[in-house]
Amino acid sequence: MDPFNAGLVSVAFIIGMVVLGVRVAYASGIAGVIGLIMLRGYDPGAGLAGLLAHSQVSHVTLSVLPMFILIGFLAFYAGLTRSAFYAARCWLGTLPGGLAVATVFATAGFAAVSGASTATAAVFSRVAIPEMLKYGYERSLAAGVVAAGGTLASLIPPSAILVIYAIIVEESVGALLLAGFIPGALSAVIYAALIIFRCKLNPSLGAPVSAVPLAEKFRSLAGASGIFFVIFIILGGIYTGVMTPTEVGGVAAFVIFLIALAKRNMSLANLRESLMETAKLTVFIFTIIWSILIYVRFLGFSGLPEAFATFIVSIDVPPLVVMILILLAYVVLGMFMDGIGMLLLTLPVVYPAVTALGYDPVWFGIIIVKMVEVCLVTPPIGLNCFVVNGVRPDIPLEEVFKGIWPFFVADIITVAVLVAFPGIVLWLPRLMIQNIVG
Amino acid sequence: MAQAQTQNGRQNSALSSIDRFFGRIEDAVTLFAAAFIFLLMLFVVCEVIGRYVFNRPIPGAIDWIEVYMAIFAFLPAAYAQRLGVHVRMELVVAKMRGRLLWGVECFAVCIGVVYCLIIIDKSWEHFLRSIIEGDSTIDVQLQTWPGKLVVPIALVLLCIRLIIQVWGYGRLALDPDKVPQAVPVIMDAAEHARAEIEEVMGRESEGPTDPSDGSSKA
Repeated sequence: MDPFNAGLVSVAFIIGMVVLGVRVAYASGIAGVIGLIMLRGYDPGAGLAGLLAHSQVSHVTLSVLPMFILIGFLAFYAGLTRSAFYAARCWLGTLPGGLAVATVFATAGFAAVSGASTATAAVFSRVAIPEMLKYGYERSLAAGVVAAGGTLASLIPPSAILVIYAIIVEESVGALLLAGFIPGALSAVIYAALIIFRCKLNPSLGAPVSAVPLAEKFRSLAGASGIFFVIFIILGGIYTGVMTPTEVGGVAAFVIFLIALAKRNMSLANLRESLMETAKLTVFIFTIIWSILIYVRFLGFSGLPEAFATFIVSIDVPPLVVMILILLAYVVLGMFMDGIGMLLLTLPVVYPAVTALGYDPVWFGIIIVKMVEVCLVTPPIGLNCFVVNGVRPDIPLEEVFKGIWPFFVADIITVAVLVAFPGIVLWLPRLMIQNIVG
Repeated sequence: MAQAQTQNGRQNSALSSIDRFFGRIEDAVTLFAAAFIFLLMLFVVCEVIGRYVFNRPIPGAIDWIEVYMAIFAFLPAAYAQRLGVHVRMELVVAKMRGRLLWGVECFAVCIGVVYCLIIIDKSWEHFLRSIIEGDSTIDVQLQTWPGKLVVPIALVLLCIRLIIQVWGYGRLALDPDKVPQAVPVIMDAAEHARAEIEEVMGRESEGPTDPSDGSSKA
């Protein structure tokens, strides 16, 4: 079989294996191993796979992943969720739908110390929903804003999924992390604008809460100061280039660890639990990365990605139409698969085509991660909605999904804005590169 | 969804005894890797403080990270397999029942076994080469073999876990009426969400949270 056909067969093989429930790492890894053996013979082919397993992940860039994951787990003990919500409520509570607006910015703030959407949704279901219901907010709005707010975690740094994207497409991890910040903040602003607009039209959805004295407002900021400090370390460290992403992650994790110690929340058992969870998620990501990279090496020999890219470029429709079709394909795929698995499986073939169309790799990373997040709140899986319903069984799932629709529209608007004005995504990373090079 | 729970019950069969015994080894190995993650955090903090405060960076910091990161990149793989953390698509499998379900599950882990065996063989050769050739890092000439040795060790553990699961699924494929042992069970979205919540809420409910607690309740 010639390499190109072997590449095609391997794609069909992986799809078959994944549909049969084989773990994505094993399905792609064995496809890569078989492919390499077919092209090179057993010893050189399998030998290359055995070498790649170690060499592809023993790279200092990847050591940022456990640090970012650890930040998220430690953040729960640093009591930053309640502080973030209280501060946001003090400053924004007087707006129409003020508590819902506060929830959006509190989740955005918490996203700066956590990269996990579902965990953010779970915690804020307990912190913010009771408060909103107490003030007579409509249940679907209260539930929807928490489920949607959780998704902000994956764009606002630290974001593990953006690091994974950067590694697979060999782009700068720092550039991707910085690029996520403004779109993440923009998503939050669009969510907030939508809530204010709806609550102004229909005040029964959610009323403003009474104002607090200025002194209390500043006191509330002091409670959430850990978050500001971590944002400062992460963005400042990466932007100025004084720290590598791993160092930024390690220092931020250490600061949060100290905050948790100071608040007397960090027992040995808690630390052990956080570290075990971190190890579990870390190894899951590493296993799929090295397995996929074995497959990517085989794909490279097969010439399939270039052929696919040439085919995509030769289609006689505007690149934007192709891009929209690719994004729609991701929405469909996202209904059946976890985001990280979906990205890793598809990027080796899709990414060369996207760059051949002339799109910026950093920009595409942000758009695609935003789409993955949209899948976290849309049926049939919409895991964040299930999480909200799980914490608050009194709010039926249908009501959570009903509450999500306005935010889904907001997300589509955000994606459209980012497609129309790529500069929003690319401004900060370009500034960083000028800053470091200059 | 991908995540699942191990169901080993309280049975006293040979399979569940092996499952529990090997589970303890996996826990210990993962704790070791977890401790390394904590050490990595302290290490990079020391490196940053050393570099900017004392103007004395740790020599070969990157080399040290690159050689020893294999510990957390590979060692907990078996632990994650036991808990069903490695991502997969369950859309079709979740619709299956009885013998077909267990047969397909058994096949799926068999693929993992074959994959592991090939990589164990070749990563061991890779390790041996690094010993024979005295392979070392560029900056501070650190021996690279310890990191390379971690790969076959971790994959042997993963392979043992996969074989335990082949056994677990195999006995169910032969007799679907038996109680599942030593295998992860598929969870639907609602169950998966519940597991995530337990993970987070277990954490959230511990101890006092923060000073704003009282005021936010007021």
